[in-house]
Amino acid sequence: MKKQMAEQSESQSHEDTIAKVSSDDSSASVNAFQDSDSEEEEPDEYAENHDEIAKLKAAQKASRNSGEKSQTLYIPKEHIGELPLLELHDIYKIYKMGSEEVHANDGISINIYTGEFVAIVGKSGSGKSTLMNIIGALDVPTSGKYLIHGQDTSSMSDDELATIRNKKIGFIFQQYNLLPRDNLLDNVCLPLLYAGVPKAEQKERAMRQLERVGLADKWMQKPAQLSGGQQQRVSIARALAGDPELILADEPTGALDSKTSRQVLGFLKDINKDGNTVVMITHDNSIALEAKRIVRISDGKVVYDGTAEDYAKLI
Amino acid sequence: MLNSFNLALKSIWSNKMRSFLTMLGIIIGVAAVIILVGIVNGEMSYMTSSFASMGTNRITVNVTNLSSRSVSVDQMYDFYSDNEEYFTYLSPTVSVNATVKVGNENSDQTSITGVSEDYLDIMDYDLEKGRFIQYADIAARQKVAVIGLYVAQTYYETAEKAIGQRISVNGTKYQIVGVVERQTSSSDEMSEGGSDDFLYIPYTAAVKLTRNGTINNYTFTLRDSYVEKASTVTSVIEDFLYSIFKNDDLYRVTAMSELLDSMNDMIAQMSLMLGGIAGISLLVAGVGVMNIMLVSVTERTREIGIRKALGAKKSTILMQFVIEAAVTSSMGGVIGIVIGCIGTTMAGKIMNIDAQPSFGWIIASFTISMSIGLIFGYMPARSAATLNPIDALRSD
Repeated sequence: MKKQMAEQSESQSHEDTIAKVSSDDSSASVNAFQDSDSEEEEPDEYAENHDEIAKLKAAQKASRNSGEKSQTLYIPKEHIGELPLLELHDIYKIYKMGSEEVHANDGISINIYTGEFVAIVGKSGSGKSTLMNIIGALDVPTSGKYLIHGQDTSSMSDDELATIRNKKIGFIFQQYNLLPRDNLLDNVCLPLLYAGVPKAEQKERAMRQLERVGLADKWMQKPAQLSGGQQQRVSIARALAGDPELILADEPTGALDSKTSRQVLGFLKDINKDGNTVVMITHDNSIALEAKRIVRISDGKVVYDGTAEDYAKLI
Repeated sequence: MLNSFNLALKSIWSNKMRSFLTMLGIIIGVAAVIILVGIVNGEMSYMTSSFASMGTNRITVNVTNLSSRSVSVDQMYDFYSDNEEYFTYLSPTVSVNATVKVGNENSDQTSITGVSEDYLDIMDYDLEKGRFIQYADIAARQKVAVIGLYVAQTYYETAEKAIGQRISVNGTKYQIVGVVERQTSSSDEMSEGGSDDFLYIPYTAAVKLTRNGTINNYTFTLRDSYVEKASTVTSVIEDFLYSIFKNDDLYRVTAMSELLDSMNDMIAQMSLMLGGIAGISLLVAGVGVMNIMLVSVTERTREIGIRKALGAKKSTILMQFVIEAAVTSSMGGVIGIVIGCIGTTMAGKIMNIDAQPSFGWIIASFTISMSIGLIFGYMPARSAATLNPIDALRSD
């Protein structure tokens, strides 16, 4: 499969229509994550990144249409005029911890369009996982609106959310989350099973996706018999099986070595090229840069939203 | 629904050990109950039948005849025919303490009883050969005898050869006219002094062999409709005897069915105890099932999280787990019933009783174990199904 290894060369004009909402500064609300910096276990490149964040904020501010106070969002150039696939309007997710309120998401607004490849990047504790739960319809925001294809999820019941997840979203998890006792085919069939697809069709569609990730000949094996990279490919096949509008990948390379990481990223790029919308959550800038667009989250706020190229220049 | 059923079956199959452990509790519980009940029921019916063969329809009357106040055979027969609505048979019974002699051989173990022509029916015996003592023998004080099979086989080889032979009781020769068929159960040896070592002669003849020459014992048999109301009849007899003796120390009336009553009490107590034991074993099985169900659902929280993330509704998850629990426990129940039935039959053979699995208890133990499985499968599954998929995914 040469395709999967193929580097995606994206040449895209850099001067985007940028308009960034950055809510006036964080002093307004208590944000516990500010205090929790010291306990981060990620030994990573973010240790010093207050400077970096300041730089990003400055850059966004500069590129913002300074006269306008109205909240306009970043819209990738080629999607201007389209209806967004995902609309996040001023999302707040507030947890109560004792008497203290923790703002995991502190007024996030993003629009994501069909066919995009977006990386949501942020260190742990930044609120990106909370955001991913909301985007994935696994959770509802405390306030704000989240629309998938124009459907508002914030007031949905558990079962309605389950239907949304089943029909519209394909999940790829860091830990693959395959059912250990089922074989690969049954694992890939799972979303189709819950969608009520007839048995024969389930098998046929699942088999097609397994072929796509190059694991068709192993369909009767159990996940434990595969390597990490192969398991992640199975979970990609599972995410694709239901033909969802959005592929949501949560740290898809978090448990893989760099070689298999590249392979998995290659797959994500390929499926994006085939027209699938991909949203990837990661803490790793170098992984994030593989996407076309990057949303940087810090302390529950969007601090950068723009092209990967511009992001690469800033850091 | 069908989906959930398939999922449940697949899940049971893909985790055979856990499913088997869940079933094991139910298998043991159900089998234990069925075997236990089978054995106790078998034991009880054995006891009842052996008691019934002792004649629950009999009333024995024992009198102490004084020279001033006594009851004669004729008085007794008059009373009997006056109260025919209660009774079917009457026989005086005269125990004779004498030595039986055949040729030169003595037998002092053989019991000698003077009886009436009804006695064979009272005892509910059948004849092996010949005839029983008849009214004519009694009226004429004929020296005839009916013997038990042990006596016949020991002294005359067979019953046939015994007929017409003479047997001597305290020196008086009696002619053998009949042989009673074997009374000892077929699994036991007939023995000296056993239930086949006896000799019946007319009571009129027997009374001459006793010291005081009076008849002190009578046996009545009740009509079927009065077996349950034996105490009514005993008081009628007691009233009659009191009118003669004017002293209730001089007679004793005993109904066998009253003994049966006390035995029924005993059986009821045993049933109660049995219910307790069966209940405990089912309870223990239930606790086992509950444990495994609880652990297996907790252990599978992550699986539930994955399924929910991929779009399984709460009801679908719940259905899968409930069906799983139901299928597991009913399979356990069926296996338990099979083992229980086989075990009961085997135990019955070993203990030499007629132990049979009771249908009612099969249904009851199956229902109980099934509901235990359902309830304890449902409770943890419900809380798992309501779990937020994020939390469920995070669990390890």
